Amino acid sequence: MDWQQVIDEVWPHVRRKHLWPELAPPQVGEIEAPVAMHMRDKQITLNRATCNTLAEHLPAASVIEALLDHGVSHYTRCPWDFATHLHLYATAKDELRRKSLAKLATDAFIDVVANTACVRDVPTPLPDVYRYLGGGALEGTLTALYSHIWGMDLQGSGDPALVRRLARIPYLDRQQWGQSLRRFVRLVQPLLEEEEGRQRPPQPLALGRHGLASYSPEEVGQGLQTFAQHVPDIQHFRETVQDFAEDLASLGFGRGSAAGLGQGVSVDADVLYYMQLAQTYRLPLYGLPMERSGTLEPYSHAPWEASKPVHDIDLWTSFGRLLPGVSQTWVRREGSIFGQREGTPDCLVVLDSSGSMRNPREQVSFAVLGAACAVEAYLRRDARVAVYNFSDARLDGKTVVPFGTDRQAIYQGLCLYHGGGTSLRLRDLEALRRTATSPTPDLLVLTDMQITNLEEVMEYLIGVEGRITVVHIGENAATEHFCQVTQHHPRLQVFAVQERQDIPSIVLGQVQRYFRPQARARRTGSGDRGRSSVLNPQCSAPS
Amino acid sequence: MVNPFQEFFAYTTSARELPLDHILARRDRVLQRLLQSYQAFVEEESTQLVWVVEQGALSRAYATAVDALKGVEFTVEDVEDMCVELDGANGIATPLGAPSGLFIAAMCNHVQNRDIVLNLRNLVRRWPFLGYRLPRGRHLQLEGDAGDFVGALLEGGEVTVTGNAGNYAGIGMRSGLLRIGYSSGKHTAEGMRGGTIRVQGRIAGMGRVKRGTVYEGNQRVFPAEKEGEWTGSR
Repeated sequence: MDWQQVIDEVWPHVRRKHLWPELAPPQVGEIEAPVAMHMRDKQITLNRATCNTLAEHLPAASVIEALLDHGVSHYTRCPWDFATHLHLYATAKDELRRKSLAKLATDAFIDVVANTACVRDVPTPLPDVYRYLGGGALEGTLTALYSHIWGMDLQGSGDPALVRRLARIPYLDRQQWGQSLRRFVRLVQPLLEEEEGRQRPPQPLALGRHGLASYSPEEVGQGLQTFAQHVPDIQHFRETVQDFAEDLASLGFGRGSAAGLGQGVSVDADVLYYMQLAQTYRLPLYGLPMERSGTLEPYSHAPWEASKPVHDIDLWTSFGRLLPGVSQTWVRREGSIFGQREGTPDCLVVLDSSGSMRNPREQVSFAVLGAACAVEAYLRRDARVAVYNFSDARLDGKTVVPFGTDRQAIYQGLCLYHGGGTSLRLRDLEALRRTATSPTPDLLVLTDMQITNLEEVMEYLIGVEGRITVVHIGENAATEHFCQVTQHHPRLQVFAVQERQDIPSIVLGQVQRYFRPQARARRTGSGDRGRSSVLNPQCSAPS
Repeated sequence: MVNPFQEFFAYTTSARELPLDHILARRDRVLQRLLQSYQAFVEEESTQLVWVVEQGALSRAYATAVDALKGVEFTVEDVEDMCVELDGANGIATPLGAPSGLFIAAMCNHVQNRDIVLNLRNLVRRWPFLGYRLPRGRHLQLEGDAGDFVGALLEGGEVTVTGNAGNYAGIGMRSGLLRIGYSSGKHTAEGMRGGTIRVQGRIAGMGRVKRGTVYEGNQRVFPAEKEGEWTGSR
């Protein structure tokens, strides 16, 4: 049987039924696993062996149409996108606690939803295929369920009481998928365990398994971002994402030059969590302003007069003559810019990871998240970032990531937790700062201010060149003291972060003199009040 | 000029109506009726300012629950859904502990099916009074751990708890069989007047038993086994 020819004939009809989904033309091939199809990056491949088996009972065109209907339904109905897939998997894992069972349960649920939506919405020979698909107890029960909810006799086998219960789940109500999956999993759990007992890991469902491979790397990245935003805590994210570690690593979500892209071998789920979550916040970052250069530079030509010096004459435009009115002299002006546009200096992130701070691998650390958002802002502008992660630096409680653009290395440096006491070794910090390519790198300090040598640190920050952004986590006497001491510093801004919602309020590279015109405007009643509210009122009153 | 959307224009489709739609519609309808009955029951009971677990209050509350359920046709699956609804933190109904347990017991006693299985493992709350007055010919299987007063005033029915039971298991039971897979709490068989209680694990404390038979494991603990007596259960 020339299956590819059958596919070519049937595919336009299937596309039309499903309202022209953006999928590549399917193909037929040999699949090692006992499944009817798989989808790789939006390319459906049908298993020749399954097609041959089904063709013994059904016309070839019906076999292909049914299988393609199933495959397209997954793309157009359930799971729809990778974020939904992850959410469903996380729900199943929460109930079953075992990866293999959770994957099988998710696959089964996704199949029921996609198939039922397909049978309801379009004319399809899909039910006929289920008459001739073999499988274990789970497959039999699902076929019996299809008989029950589609109103067709598909010769399934399953406990009638179980099928009756399964039939009461609102599969097509997308809003209730989480709850529906929980009920589904609780009901089929004994069958899943039976499948696992029969073969370990359990056989996939006959029509195929659903993995990361079905999605493009961009979809996976987007899905991870959405998932990171919606999971209640980092543990949930880690537990779910670690189960897909191999697939993610093969897609380049391990080590890479950009968030989620490039080659990789392993996945640090915690780093990935902060990486994805940081993508969702866009912190404003001010570039260095244009300034007078302080030197006179040739700007335009003017006719030379006898009273003017000769050394400014431009020989090239003077026709080789020294004659008043013919020779051209340069008119000089002071340069007004450093370059063609505003520049972004490098950034040195100083992160407190002492015992009084949250461990970023146990719960969401606002300090690490804030630092990650800042790192993203600098890297987006092609600046280089260094990390000085410290606890008791005097006793070597520190991790240094030199200036660079390796996102993975920077995040690894941010996600380290030292615990213990807090002291900053300013000599180390200054040495690291001096390695920046830009003469005055920005300094971003994230701490709860409970630093043993806080006075020294304040003295250093007041004296250091460049723009300084200090983010203090929580409020205490030390933060109050710090704000009081530094309140008149023109290049130092302090932001308080108590909750995650405070992070977008951070403005990087801001110096108070930028706000002078606005401050004046505010005094006259026409200023940008929204802007003023993002600043820590205790610390950032314009001088 | 050719309309580039010609093919889309000609396309029409209409969704089929599946039995699933009818099943869900019926389920929602019955659940709605049960919730209304429950609300009526709660409103009736709320007039009693202090709800005390004593014989008079129990009988009255149970009679009210049975009255509220009159005219509602439901299945075991509906009972399960109602339990989930009462259990859920976001449910419409207000869970009230003992009255809610009595309402579930009334549903179990009046459901069409004779064999009822309730999976308590999926529920957060431990409803008391499950199996209250279960009549002869009915079998209630409770998967997981049951709350207090399970099998209270049993009237010939058979209650099986696959996990542990709380305190006062089988209180005042008249006839029937109460099986507990693991252990039972204090005051087990308090005021028991007939029937059999079989606890596979340990009994934390016996109540004042009047008549009937109570087993702890294979050991008959009431009436106490005499030396060398053959109980047939070893």
